[in-house]
Amino acid sequence: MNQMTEFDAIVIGSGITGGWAAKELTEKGLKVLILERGKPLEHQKGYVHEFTPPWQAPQQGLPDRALDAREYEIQSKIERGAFSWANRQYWINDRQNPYEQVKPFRWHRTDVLGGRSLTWGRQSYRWGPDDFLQNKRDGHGNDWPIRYADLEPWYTHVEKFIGVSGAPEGLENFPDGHYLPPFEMTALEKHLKRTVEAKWQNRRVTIGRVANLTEALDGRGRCQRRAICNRGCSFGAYFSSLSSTLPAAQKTGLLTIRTDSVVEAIDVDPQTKKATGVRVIDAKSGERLRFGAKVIFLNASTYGTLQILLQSKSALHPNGIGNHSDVLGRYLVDHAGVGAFAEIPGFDDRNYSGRRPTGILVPRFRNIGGQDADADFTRGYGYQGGAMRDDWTNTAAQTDGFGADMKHQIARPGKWIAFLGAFCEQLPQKDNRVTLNENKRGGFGLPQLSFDVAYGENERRMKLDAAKQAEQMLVAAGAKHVVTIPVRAIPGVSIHEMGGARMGHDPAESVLNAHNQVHGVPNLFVTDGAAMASSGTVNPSLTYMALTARAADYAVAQLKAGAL
Amino acid sequence: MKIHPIGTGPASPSRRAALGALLAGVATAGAWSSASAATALQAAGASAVRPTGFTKPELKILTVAADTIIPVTDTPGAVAAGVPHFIDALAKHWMNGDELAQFRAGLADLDKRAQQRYRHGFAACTSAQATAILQDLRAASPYEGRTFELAARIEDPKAPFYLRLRDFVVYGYFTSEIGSTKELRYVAVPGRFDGDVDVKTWPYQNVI
Repeated sequence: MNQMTEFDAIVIGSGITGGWAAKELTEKGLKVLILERGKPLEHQKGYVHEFTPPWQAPQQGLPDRALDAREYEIQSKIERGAFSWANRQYWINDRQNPYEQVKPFRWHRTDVLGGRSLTWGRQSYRWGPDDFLQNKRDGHGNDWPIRYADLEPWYTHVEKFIGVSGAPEGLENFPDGHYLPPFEMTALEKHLKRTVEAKWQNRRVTIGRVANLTEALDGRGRCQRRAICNRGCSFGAYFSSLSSTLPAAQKTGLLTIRTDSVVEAIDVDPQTKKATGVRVIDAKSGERLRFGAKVIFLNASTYGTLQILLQSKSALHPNGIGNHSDVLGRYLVDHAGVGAFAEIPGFDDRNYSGRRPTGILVPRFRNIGGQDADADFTRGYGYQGGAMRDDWTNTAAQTDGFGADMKHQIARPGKWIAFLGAFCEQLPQKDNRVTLNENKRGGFGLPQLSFDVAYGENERRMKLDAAKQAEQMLVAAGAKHVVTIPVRAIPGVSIHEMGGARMGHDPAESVLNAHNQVHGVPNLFVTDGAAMASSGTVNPSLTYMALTARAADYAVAQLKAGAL
Repeated sequence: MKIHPIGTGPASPSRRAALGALLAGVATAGAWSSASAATALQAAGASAVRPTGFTKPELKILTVAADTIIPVTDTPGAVAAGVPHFIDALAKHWMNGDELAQFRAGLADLDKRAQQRYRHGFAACTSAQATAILQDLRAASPYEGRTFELAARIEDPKAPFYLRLRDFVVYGYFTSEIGSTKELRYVAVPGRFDGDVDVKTWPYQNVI
């Protein structure tokens, strides 16, 4: 095995948190190596289908069913069109990278430099003070070792760099951040906002806070209102590692990026008990390599991170790093969902032009400041949605006629439809977990990750309530007939993967401490979704970024103090 | 891809205009579909190659049907937009065996209905004749499914031939360059989003 050059720090993964770790560590003077398991991808040049119009797409955009069924069986099922002919090349090949589903589970992952920062939904929300207190209050999960005040300056730090557009609301548990001007609501969204806020004093409808630049920022261009973000954006107008953090890290001259580098394990010295380096399989040559560093940041995406920790077995850590208490891989959480939509009449004279890369949001209003009298579940949910007019594919799919009149009916702006989709907080449960199946081999001969995750009774009740409340809001806005549909019904589908190496005060019930250090391995930091001790009700990526920047600051200070 | 001239027969002025546009538009319409299909096939390991698409008579039936489903109006219709070639490329490279068999049988059935009713093939039908036959077929083609995306219904194995034909034509048209730019307003780089405007100032969809 080759021992390669020593680095001050190794960052495993180049996605949302890996990019942030690399930026922060290099800007503080560390020599950093990023190890990315996926293929290289170059900003702008690599976005090969960014400007492809529908008529030049393969089959004019109809999915390549044979290819998708054979190579992308899981990835091609991603909701909301995030997988398409225009970005298939970013996603992982499922045939070559199988995993075990004890219960149905969707593991959606990319396999390219920049990771899911390229394809993410860009919704960027701060967690509220209550989100860090709930575990302690209701006893589900362990107490978070940090509070909102610990993260607040880091949210600010992150928002100012990535650029988030949004509207302040002044709500205590849905904190405002530093925002670029918000996108405008449609006529029906404005109406929904008016009617909902008039009828329920504790409910708010706001524009989605999104990491798209409504104004140019630090050399990145402003959003062009194309809403094809997940193809990659040559304007650099949404936050991705490729547009933002990696260029910043490269500017220091201290960054080395190695793609096609599949991390097999992290080595820990049995004497010092510190992590000494990373063992890597070169994805192209199969060669095994080792890289050494003083500090390691593990940012391989929640399940990727857990797989690496579980694979890192030694005499000191016989069940994987951080697994002395059998907590590693457990307490996985994400967001369960349910959706409701309805046609709302009365706005045929209104329309919108351009394409907006965000929707609307209803922050959590259930069980805030105590249990609601009519709620038979604990915690709550928020909604994301929108109110737009049907487009040609919707109108055409709801009709079967033909001829000149049909042609023009399909082409005209269609019915106004309002949609609300709930993000229901999943309670941390010990039995929702991943393990390694040593008897089944996946990509690169490594053991398959095995998912045993299910939603529980509380999520079921919460979904029923979310559907009911959504219906009431849509009816208040003028809907005659509300349709409820399952969304995010299978764990994993929300791609809000959290937990498995949760933070906590006590090594007996957590994997990481308040600074995201693995208990007992002080120079190993985990700052992606694996660190989360609960799931909240809003999209988690902004919180991962804030945790990463905070941990990087701490790591460098500790390193300089000689403590690592 | 070889382009077959359309058979003679009674044709309305708009039909003739459509056929002219077909012949004029053939080069571009054909070029992309074979090139992109070839790329897709290469990626797929070329396991599903069916070197022949529709026969010449089938293509003529399909062309008249496409022209009836999305006719020329103040904008060009399905034929000018290259829709018959789009569906022909799907037959070669995209439809599975069952779908292709259903589609072929459906085209043959259109021809049979025309023979029974008008004593000539479907390809020789006037607009009014083709419309009457397709309306009959539509009425005789129940479908219980419910979707909100056309691409999803296109893939539904329970969709009857009529709906499949209609949906392929509609999909092919509204994703073609003509459909996207003349009937819809495809704007590659809008530059701005105006969330609440009078529909009279912008009576279009905002298609991707």
